[in-house]
Amino acid sequence: MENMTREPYLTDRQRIAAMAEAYRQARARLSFLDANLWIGRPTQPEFNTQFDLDSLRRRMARYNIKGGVVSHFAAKDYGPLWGNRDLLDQLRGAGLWAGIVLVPEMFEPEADGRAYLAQAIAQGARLARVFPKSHNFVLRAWCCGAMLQALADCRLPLVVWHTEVSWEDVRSLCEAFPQLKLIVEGTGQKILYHSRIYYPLLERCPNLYLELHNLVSYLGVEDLVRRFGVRRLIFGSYMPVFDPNVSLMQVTHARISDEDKALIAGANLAELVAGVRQP
Amino acid sequence: MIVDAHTHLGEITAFRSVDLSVRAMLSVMDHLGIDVCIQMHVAGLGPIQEAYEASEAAFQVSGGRLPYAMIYNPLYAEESLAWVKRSLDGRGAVGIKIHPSFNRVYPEDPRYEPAWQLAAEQGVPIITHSWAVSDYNPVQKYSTPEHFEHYVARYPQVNLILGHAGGLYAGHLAAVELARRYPNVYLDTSGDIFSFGLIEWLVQQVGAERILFGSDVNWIDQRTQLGRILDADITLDQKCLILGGNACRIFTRLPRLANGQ
Repeated sequence: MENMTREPYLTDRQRIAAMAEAYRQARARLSFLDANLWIGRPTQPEFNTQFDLDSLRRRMARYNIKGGVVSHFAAKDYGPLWGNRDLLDQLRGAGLWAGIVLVPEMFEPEADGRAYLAQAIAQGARLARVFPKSHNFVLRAWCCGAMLQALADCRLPLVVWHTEVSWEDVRSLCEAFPQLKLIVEGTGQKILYHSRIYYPLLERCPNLYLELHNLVSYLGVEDLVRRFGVRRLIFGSYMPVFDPNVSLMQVTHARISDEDKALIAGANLAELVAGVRQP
Repeated sequence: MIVDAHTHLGEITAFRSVDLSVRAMLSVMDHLGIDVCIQMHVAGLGPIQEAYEASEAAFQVSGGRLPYAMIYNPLYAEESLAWVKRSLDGRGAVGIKIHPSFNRVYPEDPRYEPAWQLAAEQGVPIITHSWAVSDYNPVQKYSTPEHFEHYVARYPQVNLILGHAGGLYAGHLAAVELARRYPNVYLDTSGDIFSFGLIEWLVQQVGAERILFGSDVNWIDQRTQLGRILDADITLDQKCLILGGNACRIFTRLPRLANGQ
């Protein structure tokens, strides 16, 4: 995909048609697995009006996204118990993984959070999400240690939006639970503003990962791969809220090897998911 | 020509950057198939002379692939206007940029009048930052699209490009409203405006003739916007307008490259 066509004998119309086709082919060649797919109604819908699973699957096919992890807005914005249950029900037999939303009290002794996790994993849960700011808790051991330990024990990767947590809590969590894989997403505000923080954190914390949908810094993918290795980047689109092409082309047209593109596109997520086990 | 109508050169204080050189920008442009980037050097918000000299140098070094729009600063109006005028005396400048949020001067303020007069005299467009107010970014009240109506109405001969097409959802609605009322208002796609369906919605609302491809390089990666336009559910002709046809029409001084159409 080097040097998208600038041959002088082509008209602009021919060039743009060729560029669009080359992009679609590059996308189709990679097996994209998306860590950041959603169903359910977001609190602030914009131009998209379809948030059901069938629409999501049609769009995944349209954008050459072969699989991934789906989460449910109701689990974040209404209630984790109802939202997770509806999500797992809808995904039954769909060939997609689930990203369930957790809150600390699920892991108090009487609630038996480990049994809840075991059942969710059996039904296809492969990522967990927390929203400490929206759900009013602190992502520290003293506040939700039982939940974090359970996630670490079953190797269920944890996803958090950077707008929902302090970077100091991210550092503390990564160091206190080295077995826990933590994926930070840039939802709510482009994460590039925090590059002076996440660069040293990636250096310090081998269990920290960044998801791609709002990691949009100029030349950022190439620089992160060069400095920290390709394993630390996870493909995600935040579809159907975001246009998936935002993150897709950051991979298809990154100036990295084809092997590294394949890892970011899907193999890194597949590896994390493959490590999930019963608690 | 394929034209990115909203890019920058210069240092960035807000976050860590990778490679801000002209060489790097040209290399990325070659990689992606982009012929021309219209750049607005961020030094124009501070050391204005540095912005002019660096922009002229980039235009020369790039063989004309990096034309520019000098930033007009209403807080240093006299000095700023002199540099903008000087830029327009040369071959590299193709427009004038304003940034009401950075300067915290509302777009209808009389201190912007000299820039509009100059744009009218020279037949060049004005490119402005536009956005919407959010909980974490109240200073954007200075750049909401409706504030630009004052001068847009007074200078119908001057084309105004609303950078970022209003920024957030509320800003997109306001930007489209302004563009539908005034034929001299255009929208660019630059920045982290990534809503699903936005490109198609903009085309439906104002027509592809009013939309320009922009990325916000060297802050935001060009690939984030290029892919969604190439793959949008619009016609090839509409993509051609957005990716360069409109820029070539609106930026009347845009140099014609040897291998461009």
